Amino acid sequence: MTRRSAGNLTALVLLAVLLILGRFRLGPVPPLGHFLDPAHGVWAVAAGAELPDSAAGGVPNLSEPVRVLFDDRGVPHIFAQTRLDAIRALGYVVARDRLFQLEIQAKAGAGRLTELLGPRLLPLDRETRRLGLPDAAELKFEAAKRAPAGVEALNAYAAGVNAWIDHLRPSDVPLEYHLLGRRPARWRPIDAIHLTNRMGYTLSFNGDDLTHEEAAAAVGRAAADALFPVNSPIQEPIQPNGSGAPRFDFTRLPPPGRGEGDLLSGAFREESDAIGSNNWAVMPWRTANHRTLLAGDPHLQLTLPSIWYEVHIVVPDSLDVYGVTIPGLPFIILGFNRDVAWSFTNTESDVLDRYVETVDDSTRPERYLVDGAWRPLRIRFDNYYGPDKSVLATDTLRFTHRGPLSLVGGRWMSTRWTALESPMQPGLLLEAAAAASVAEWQRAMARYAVPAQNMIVADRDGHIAIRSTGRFPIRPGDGRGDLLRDGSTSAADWLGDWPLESYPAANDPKQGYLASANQQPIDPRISPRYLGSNWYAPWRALRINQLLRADSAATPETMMRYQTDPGSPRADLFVPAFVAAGRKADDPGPRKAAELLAGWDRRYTRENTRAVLFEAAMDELSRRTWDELGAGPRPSSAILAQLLADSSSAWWDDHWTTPVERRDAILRAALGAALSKTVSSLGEPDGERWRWDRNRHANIYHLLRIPALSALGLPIEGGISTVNPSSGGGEEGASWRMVVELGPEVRAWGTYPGGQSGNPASSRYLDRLPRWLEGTLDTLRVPRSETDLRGHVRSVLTLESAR
Amino acid sequence: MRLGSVMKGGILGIGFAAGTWFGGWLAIPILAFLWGLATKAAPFVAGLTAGTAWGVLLLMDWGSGALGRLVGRLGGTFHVPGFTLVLVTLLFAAGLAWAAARLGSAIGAWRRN
Repeated sequence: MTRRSAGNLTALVLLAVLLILGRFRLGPVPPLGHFLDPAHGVWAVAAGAELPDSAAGGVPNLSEPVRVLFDDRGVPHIFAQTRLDAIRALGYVVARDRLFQLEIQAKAGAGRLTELLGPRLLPLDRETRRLGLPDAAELKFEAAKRAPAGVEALNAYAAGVNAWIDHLRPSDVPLEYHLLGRRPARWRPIDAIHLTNRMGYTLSFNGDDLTHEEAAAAVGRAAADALFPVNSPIQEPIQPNGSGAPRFDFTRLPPPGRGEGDLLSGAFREESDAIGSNNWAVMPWRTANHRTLLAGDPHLQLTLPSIWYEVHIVVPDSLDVYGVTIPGLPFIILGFNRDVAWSFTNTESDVLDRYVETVDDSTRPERYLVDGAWRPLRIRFDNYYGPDKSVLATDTLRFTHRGPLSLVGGRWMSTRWTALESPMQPGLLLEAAAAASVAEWQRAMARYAVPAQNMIVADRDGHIAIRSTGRFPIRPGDGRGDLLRDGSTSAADWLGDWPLESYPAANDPKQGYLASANQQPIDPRISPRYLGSNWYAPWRALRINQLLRADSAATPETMMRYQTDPGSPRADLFVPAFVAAGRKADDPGPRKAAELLAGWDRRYTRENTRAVLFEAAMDELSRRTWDELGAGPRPSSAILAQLLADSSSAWWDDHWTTPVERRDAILRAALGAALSKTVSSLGEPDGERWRWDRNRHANIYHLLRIPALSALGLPIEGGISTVNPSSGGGEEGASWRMVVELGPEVRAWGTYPGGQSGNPASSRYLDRLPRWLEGTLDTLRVPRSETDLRGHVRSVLTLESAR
Repeated sequence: MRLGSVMKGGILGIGFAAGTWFGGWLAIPILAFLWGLATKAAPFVAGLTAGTAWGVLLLMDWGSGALGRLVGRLGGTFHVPGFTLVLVTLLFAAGLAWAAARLGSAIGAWRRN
C-alpha cells in the first residue's frame, strides 16, 4: 500500500468515525455533530444567556400588545391591558428564562420523568403514580373544564409558554436539552395541575399514622401517643393564646411498654426540626415609622434554578402585584400590591389518612370489603415510556373510593388525601392579588384548599391577620388522623371539612404582631379539635416571638436581621442541662465538654466553634434516650425537652446495660461521646475546623444534580431550629426572603438563592447568591408605570398578538 | 502562500461558517468534500479553515462573558478542563473537513486520471 493510499484509508476511517460520533449518542455522550455545532449546539446557549436590549415576540390571542420591562435585577415588569394578556405574557417570560425547569417539574408531577431522563427515573415515576397524583390531575382537569373560567388562566398561560417554544432559536434551547439530546415538549394546561399536585405532595404528604404505628409496635400505644403526641408540649401557637409567653406543658411520659400491632419497619421517615418556614407581621404601633411591616421566608428544597421566579404584573385598574411565582403556575404566590402584602408557611396539618383494607386477593386484588359487601376497585393500567417512546414498564394502579391502594408493610392500604381531591384554584390568588385590604384578601382566599397554609396578610391601614387556611377533614370518632383506620367500615370515612370559622386565625391582636413557623396553630386549651400531630418543635416560633416581643420599634432592617437570627431556644434549653450534668462527671471527657459548651453564647454564627459539639451531643442524647425505638422514628426535640424535666423517667435507662441510668448519666454519656467523636473527626476544640461554617453548608443542586451546574459547600449561618434553619444535607433553606413596608408608597426588599435565569451561562444564573449568603436583601423596584422604571431598564420585550 | 490561495481559503472559511449557520454541522464534511473534489489544494487547508470557521462562530459570543461561563460549567459537567471541550469542538470540525477533503481530493484525482 502506498503512502497516498494509506492516507486515503485513514481519511475514510476518520470520516466514518466522526460521522458516527456526530450522528449517534454513545452512552452518556450526546451526538457530537449537533452538540458541538457552534451555531445550533451547546455553544449556542451562550448567545441566549443575556437579555437583549430589546426583543419582540408573538403570542396568540393577545387583546393588546404587552410591554415587558426587565429591570437591573432581571425582574420582568409586565404591563398588560387585561389579566389574561398578563398571564399569557407571564407564561412567555417564564418560558424564556426557565424552560427546562417548567418541563422537568411538570413531568415530575405527572410521573413521566422517564420520558425526559430515561429508565433510571422509573422508581420515582412509579412512586408518583402509585400515590395517585397524575390520576388526580386528570380528574381535576376534567372537572375544571366543566367550569371554563377555571381553565381560562391555565390556557392563557399555556399559550404564552408555547408561543415561546414554537419560535425557539438554537440559542434559546436550554443547556439541559443539549446534554440530554432532547427537544422541549409543549406545555399543556394540565401541567399546571401536575405541578400543583407535586407541591401538594411536598407540603402535605405525611406519615403520622405510619410513624405512630411503628412506634406502637416498639413501645406500645400509650408511649407512642406520648412520643408522637397530638399536642405539642411547648405551646407558642400561631393564634395567640393571650398568655404573652410560651407555655411548657411538661407532663411525665409513660414508660416504654410492650409492643402492640404489626411492625411497619421504615415505612415512612421525615426529618423534623431541620427545616421550616417563617412569616410575621407587625402593626404600625409597634414599628418605628408607624407603618405596617410584613416578613416572610418560606424554606424549601433549594435548587438551581430556584423554585421561585420574581415578577411584577400591572394591569390598569385591575392588578398591580409584585412577588414570586412558581414557574408553571399562572399567578403570584407570595408578594404584595400597593395596599396588601402576604406570605405563607406550611400548616403541617394532617390531611391524609391511611385505611387498612380487606381485599379479595392478597396479590392481585380486584375488590375490597366495605360494610360486609365487596366493592370493585377502580383499576387503571399505566405505561411508562422512555425518551425513545418505548414502553419501559407497565403498572396496575388500584383505587378504592378513598384513593389509591398500595401495599405498605405487607398490608393493603388505601390513602385518602385532600391533595388528590381538591380542585386547582388559579382564580383565588389572582383575585387576592387585587385586594385592597386584609378583609378583602382573606375573603378571596377563603375557599383555598391545598396545601394548607398559614397565610399571613397585612395592609396599609395597619391591619394584620393570619389564618391557617386549607381543607381540614372532619374524622369520625375521636377525630384523630394519626392512627391507621379500618377500611372495612364506611363509618371510618371522613364526615366533611372544617368550616372556615373554625380555622385557627387571628386579626389585629393585642400584642401588635402575628407570627408563624410551622408550629401547632392553635392552643389545644382553646380548641382541642384534632388538626394534626407530631408537630415541628416550636423553637423557631419561640425565637421569633422572643424577638418581636422585645422590639417595640420594628423597622424593615430589624425584620431582615431577624430572618437570619442565629439565636437558638433549643440550645438555650439543652445547654444548661448538659453543663450541669457534665460538670458533676467523674470522667474528664464530659467535664471538658461541659466547660466547652458553658463558654458558648448559643448562637449559630459562622465563626462559632461550639455548635458542632452541641449538635453531636444532641444526636448522641437522642440516640441513647430513644434506644427502645431501635431504628424506628425518633420523637422531636420538643419531646426530649419535655423528658428533661423528669430526671428519673424510665426512658433515660439504656436498656442494653444492667444498671438503671437516669437523666444525668445519659447527658454525661452523650457529652463524652460527642466530644470524643468531634475531636476524632475535627481535631482539638481550639482549631479552626470546629468553626460552624467549616461544617455546615448549603448545597444548592441543579435540577439534574450536576455538580458543575450547582452551588455546593456554601458556608452559612444558622443551624437546626434557628430562625434560618439548615438541615444536615444543606439542601433546604430560605427559598425566598421578603420584607414589605406598607406606607403611602410600598417599599419592599427580597432575594432568593440563585438568579432569574435558568441558563447556567447567564450572569443572572447565580447573581443573587452572594447577598443571600450574607443575609441581605435587594431593594425591589415597584414602578407604577413604565416611566417610573427609567434608568433601571435592562431589556424591553414587546409582545403582540400572533396567530 | 499566494494571494489566490488565501482568498480561496477565506471563501471556504466563509462557506464553512455560513454552511454551519444555515445548515448545521454536516455542512462541514459536505463542503470540504466538494472542495477536495474541485481543487488541488492540500486537505489540511480545509481542516485548518473549518476549525478556524467554528472558532470564529464561537468567539461571536465572547463579549458578554457568557461563553467563558459556559466553557467552565461544561468542562465541569464532563469532568475535564473547559478549554478541552473547545479544543474538541475545533478538532471535530477540522477532522471532518480534513478527512472529507482528502477523500474528495482522492476521488477528484482518480476521475482526472
